[in-house]
Amino acid sequence: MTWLFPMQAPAGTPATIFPVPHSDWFYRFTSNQQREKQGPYDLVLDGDSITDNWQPDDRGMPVWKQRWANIKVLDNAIGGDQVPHVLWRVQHGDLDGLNPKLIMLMIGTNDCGRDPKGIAQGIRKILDEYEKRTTAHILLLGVFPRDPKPSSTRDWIKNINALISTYSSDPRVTYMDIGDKFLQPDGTLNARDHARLPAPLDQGLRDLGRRDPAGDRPVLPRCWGEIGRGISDGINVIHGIRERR
Amino acid sequence: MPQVDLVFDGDSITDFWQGTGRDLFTKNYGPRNVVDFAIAGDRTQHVLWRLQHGELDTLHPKLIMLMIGTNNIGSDPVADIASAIEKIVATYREKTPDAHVLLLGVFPRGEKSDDPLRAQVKGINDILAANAWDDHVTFLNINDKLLQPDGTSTRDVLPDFVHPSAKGYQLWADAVQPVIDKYCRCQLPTRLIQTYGPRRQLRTKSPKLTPPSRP
Repeated sequence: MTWLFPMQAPAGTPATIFPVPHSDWFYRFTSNQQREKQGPYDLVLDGDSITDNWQPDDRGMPVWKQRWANIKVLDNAIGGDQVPHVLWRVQHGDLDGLNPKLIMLMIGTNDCGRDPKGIAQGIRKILDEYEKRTTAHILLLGVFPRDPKPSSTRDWIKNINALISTYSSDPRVTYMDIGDKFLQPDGTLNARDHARLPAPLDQGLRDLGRRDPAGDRPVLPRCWGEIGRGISDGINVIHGIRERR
Repeated sequence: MPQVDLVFDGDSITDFWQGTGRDLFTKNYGPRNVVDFAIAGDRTQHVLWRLQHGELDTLHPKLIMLMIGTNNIGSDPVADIASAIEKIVATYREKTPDAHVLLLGVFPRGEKSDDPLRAQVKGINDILAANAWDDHVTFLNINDKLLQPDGTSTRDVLPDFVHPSAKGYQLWADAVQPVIDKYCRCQLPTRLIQTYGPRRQLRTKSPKLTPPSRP
């Protein structure tokens, strides 16, 4: 299904009189529809702000460039998305024409606090839609930990991860929980790297813009390196995507 | 559908009647069966979209107060903004032929009277003021009420030089009161409103009084 909703005035019509809904989210969605959609893609990313921040020009970009320079990657994630939003996007053509080999999904952190069973069902439904609409293998990530210390939010995330980890019994789904890669041995989150994920990120991530005085390299926040390593190891192990060197 | 007599429409400046201006909004306009459709950040095209998608379709308001266009400044030429506002007013006229439209001039932007934004605002307002509106439309520019005599904007009225403070909303309410009284009469005796506030609170605050029935 193609979902084209004109969000920009055609040439010759002033933008002021071309009615459009006032929704940044919808604007993002429809802009995504107008991107290069010629598949096959090696990897399609989906999820919320955490995945959204991989986007070109965003903070995950250095790792993207380093790891995925030679494979065809597309990021469909939109910041703030909850499970039903992803489901809606997928049902309205987000994957049309992409023909991905692998879809990586992490979703649920914005649903925090709701009934985990319902959210897990929603995630299952997203997986079903992926399977129906593509031939891709699916890498389902456990929701990343939040809060510096164990908390009710962490417990909720544990619950949801326990529920969705069972989906790996589906041969087309691989579940990975790489959340512990962000944690200190004592279970705390390193404040510098991760403290306020997925809220506006703190100092560790703002360091991206700084330069390493010695090597003139961007100072990478460690957590993104970990994500990149975890995921690209996973990708290589799980699925036959070879980086084309 | 509940009876709606008074409609507010526009962008954040009108939207924040429900925030900064909330007390005054409930007190002044609650008894007039008001609904505020304004959405922060809206531009003219967003208002047009809302109107095209059912916003006024089941309503028969007596008065619609609109201020829009300030979010288009910087992106669109002044003439386009003004013609879009005219188009919105024309849409109101078409959808609710019995309603009167109170069209407000765009509020001043920037602190000093020589701020470049002021010229843009004035450009829009001049076009709107010169337009030949039909007698169902009142154009009102109340910017002089919000500014000092020399045209500077002060933080006690427009703290960020865009959005009114509570005092700013009071000035706004006072300036449009005659038009609102003329086209959208109050449904409650003034004494009750002033003493007990909006009708919703009557029951809890004054158990002896039965709330007047809604027409």
